[in-house]
Amino acid sequence: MLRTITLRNYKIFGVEQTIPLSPITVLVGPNNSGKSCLMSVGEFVKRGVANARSEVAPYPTLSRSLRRPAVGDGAMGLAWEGEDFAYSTVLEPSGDGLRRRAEVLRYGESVVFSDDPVRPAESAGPITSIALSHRLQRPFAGATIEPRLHDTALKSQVERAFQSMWGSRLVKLSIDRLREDSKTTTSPTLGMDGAGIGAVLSLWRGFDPDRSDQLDAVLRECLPEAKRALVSPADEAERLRIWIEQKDGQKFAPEELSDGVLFFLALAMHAIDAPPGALIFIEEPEQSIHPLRVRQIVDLFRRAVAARGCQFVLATHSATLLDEFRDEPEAIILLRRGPEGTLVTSIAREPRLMEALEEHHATPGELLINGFLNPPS
Amino acid sequence: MTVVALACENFDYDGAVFLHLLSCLWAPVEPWVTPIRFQGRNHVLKYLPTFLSVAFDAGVQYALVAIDNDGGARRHPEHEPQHRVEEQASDPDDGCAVCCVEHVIPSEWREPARRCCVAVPVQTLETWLLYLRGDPPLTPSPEQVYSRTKLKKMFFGPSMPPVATRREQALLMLQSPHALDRLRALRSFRHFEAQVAAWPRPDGT
Repeated sequence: MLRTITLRNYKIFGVEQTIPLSPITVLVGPNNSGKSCLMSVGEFVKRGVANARSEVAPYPTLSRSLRRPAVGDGAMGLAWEGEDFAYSTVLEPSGDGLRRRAEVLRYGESVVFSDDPVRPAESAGPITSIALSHRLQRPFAGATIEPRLHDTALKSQVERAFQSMWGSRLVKLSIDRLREDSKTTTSPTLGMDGAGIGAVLSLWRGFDPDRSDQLDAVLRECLPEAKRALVSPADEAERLRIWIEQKDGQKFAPEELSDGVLFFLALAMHAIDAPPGALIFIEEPEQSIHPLRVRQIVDLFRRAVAARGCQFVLATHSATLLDEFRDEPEAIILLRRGPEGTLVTSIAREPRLMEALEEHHATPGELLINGFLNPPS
Repeated sequence: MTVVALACENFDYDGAVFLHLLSCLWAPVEPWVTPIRFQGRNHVLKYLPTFLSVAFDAGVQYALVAIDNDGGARRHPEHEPQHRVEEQASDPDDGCAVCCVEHVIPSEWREPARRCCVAVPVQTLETWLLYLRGDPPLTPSPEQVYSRTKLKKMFFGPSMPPVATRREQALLMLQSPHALDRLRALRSFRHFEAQVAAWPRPDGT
């Protein structure tokens, strides 16, 4: 699990901010405060950091993620820490793209590799000068590990440092995609917007009955009238359609189901599908879902944390969801815009908010509704 | 089984614990099935009259209100028989939590026989569980740990497990040998038990 993510000059983040992470972290802040930017880090690392080669800048689209105007030295800083490691990289403008200026990976006090011309003292450890990430493109999907990374121990350390980010998912569900029939494919995946749930359910039904059983159990537990989720060929060729069967035997197709049921189904599938150790970012999991079901969704995430060591980051405007973290104030992260970018803190670091929680019996949801979590910049 | 309306901070966890205790101390019970859920002490105090009235209209005969004494418990006194309810309830932040609840219980739940009991573990339900678990003696005692969050984490660990796990862990403690006898060492438990003991039993005894 990651303990922190640090951002500088990344999208609307300007001055360096370190975001503490819990097994489930909840991001709260007004619209345009930086929640979605933070949620996009995993995708950026997968698409960007891996490809920002040290000498060339062939990916100009990545440069749009650099804050403009940038603060400080104008470079983007990204870093994350796990239990025993810390990785950091600095990307700077180059032409119309970005290039890597520095990269350091530490385990405890020892430097595993360092490539930092600005701070050569960092190079005191065993320098390998590897431009790490582009040698590790998609290490969990067929792995292109270059020969220079032949050292097994090093490879293992590097993979572990990148595992959460490489395995991360950004979930931002779209009701239109959830209502679409899924394309049949040999290796279906759950799309960030909910596309493909029919194909994935078909896979589970055929080859992974444990997961489909888990899903049915969740549906029966949380949607009293539901019995199970089914999948069948759609009218259009090579498409699959999902159905919800009720206990009375009636079956409902996506266009007949409520938005809330479809969102709930997709979130449950993402929670069940999350691979061990994965970092899952979810935008507003509460959308269209009844408050009582929101609590059950949070409990599903807690089960994934307990069973498989998954980690979740949730961006929310829901008081009900927030109240589920009443006893974990350090997990509630507040974001707001400052003159030099997004500023981050947690409720646990705000004495007045903690006083309200501990001395006046307020709940985080009450503080959100009444505006206390959105202090003026 | 006798149906009991439960007004507690987390129906699936605290509720299950108190149902178990009622079954041990009084008679087999089952919860009144309702979608109404509470979130925190203020919420219980605010909506308890409505909740109890709805339960009464639905024919429910018994109710249990359970909230933690947490929060600014350094200032909160443990409930004393000589407390004046009106006086304590006039300051919901600092007053005795038992009195604050008593203050909002509708009259139909007091007369002709009192069928609503108030449980306020000092400082939280986990204080009772920590006491049962017998962790290395805590200094100060769990009752003198005033942070609700800290007590929860002392029992469950740094991150909150799923509710089913919380329920299992709590019930495991309560099913341990002599658990009730040991809990009787705690004043807040004795106060709860005394009310239950005074309830008329479903069989009329």
